[in-house]
Amino acid sequence: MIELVDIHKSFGPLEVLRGVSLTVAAGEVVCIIGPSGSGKSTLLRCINHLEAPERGAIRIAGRPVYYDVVDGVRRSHPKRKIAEVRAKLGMVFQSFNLFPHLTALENIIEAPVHVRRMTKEAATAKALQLMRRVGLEDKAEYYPEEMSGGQQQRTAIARALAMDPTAMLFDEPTSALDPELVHEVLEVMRQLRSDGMTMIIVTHEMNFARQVANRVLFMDHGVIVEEDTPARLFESPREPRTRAFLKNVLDR
Amino acid sequence: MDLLNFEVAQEYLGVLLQGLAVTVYLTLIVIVMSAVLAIPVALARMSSSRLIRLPVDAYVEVARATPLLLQLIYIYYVLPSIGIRLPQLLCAFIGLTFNYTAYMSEVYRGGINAVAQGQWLAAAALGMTDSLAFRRIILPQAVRIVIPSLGNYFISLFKDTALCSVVGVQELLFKGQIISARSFQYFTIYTLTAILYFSVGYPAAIFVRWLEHVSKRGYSRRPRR
Repeated sequence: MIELVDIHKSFGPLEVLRGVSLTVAAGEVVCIIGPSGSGKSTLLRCINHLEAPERGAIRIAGRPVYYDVVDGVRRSHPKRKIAEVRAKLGMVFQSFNLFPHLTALENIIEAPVHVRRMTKEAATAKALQLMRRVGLEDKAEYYPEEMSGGQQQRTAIARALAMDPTAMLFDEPTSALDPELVHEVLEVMRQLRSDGMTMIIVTHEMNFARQVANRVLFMDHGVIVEEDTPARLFESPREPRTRAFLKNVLDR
Repeated sequence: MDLLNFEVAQEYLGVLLQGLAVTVYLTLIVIVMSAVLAIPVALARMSSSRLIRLPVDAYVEVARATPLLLQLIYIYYVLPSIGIRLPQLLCAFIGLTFNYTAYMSEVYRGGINAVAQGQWLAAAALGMTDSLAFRRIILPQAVRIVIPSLGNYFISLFKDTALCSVVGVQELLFKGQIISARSFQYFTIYTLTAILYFSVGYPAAIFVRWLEHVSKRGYSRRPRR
């Protein structure tokens, strides 16, 4: 359902992604692990075009998105078309990025009302249902800065879900949280998995990855070094780099 | 000797109040016009297109690097020589708005840049176009950031309207000049003029300080319905 082919991305002289290919099936949960600077977040951002790769193709549901290649020349899709693709991909950020001037409820209905053109009533009814689903039914009128990090991140998840995404992208969703708040966010993600949501998760939570992922990718220096089922990748990694990384993080 | 002549004060208070009304009227119209026009100017200065950016850059630099008094004189005395003859009050509106829009566009630019980059990303990830994200997400936060600075421009504009006497607009100071020259009661008339400026300017300054205080407060719940 999501297909990346030979993605290359540089920031100035720094090659962050050096030919990454990845296919994620519908309903699959893929976790991406690796040291910081390995290109995991950049890869995730290429999927919804928050970063524009220099080379490579991205297909969603079999269709090329963001670019067309005509006679060997790559042409960018119009902005509106790119926005339409993004609207179907939910994204959750490390730093939440809730809109601080809007309440939790207003954060959630913002895009359904102004992008999807839903009525405010319908969007609100749906938002309240989503807030119940992430355990925040009593926080509708709260502003982001009045909530804990865990509550903010759950609101951000609800905001993404309000657009009925076909897949969810998580960029280190628990890295900015106090340790005691991590589980409440992971719990919501577990629940999404059991609802059959397609998810691509960049994470440092190895236990979580082991429990929920169908597949784990280990990235380093802009390439996928190894990918496997969590059981095999965590218990018997083949690549020395994977082994070294896992030894470092698991022995912490 | 009695410097303050109450009879004179009483006689001319009405005329001075007319002048004050013109001053307040000028201030209010120009502050609203500039606060609105400064937004597209700020955006144009942030544009990636040089064709848009360069002329607007030039305008802002000219407006900020020449005296407001000269700008007013130019509009009133020089433009007629190329066939543009405008009524006095309109010259005042145009001159002040020209000048204040330039300054306020710089304030907005700072405010827009001060909104966290993650806000653009989150809006884009939700499928918002740049213009929708700007309108719904970025601008409301930027306005909140710039309100204290806009308030200070509001106060200085109130006083700068006095410059419009050079284009013959009978605002408060000009009224004072006219009647003091006629009655020779300089002390009384100018003191009264100063008191009138202060009686509006000071409450306005207190109002701006209150705005500053409010805008520093974080975003929090409105009173429960």
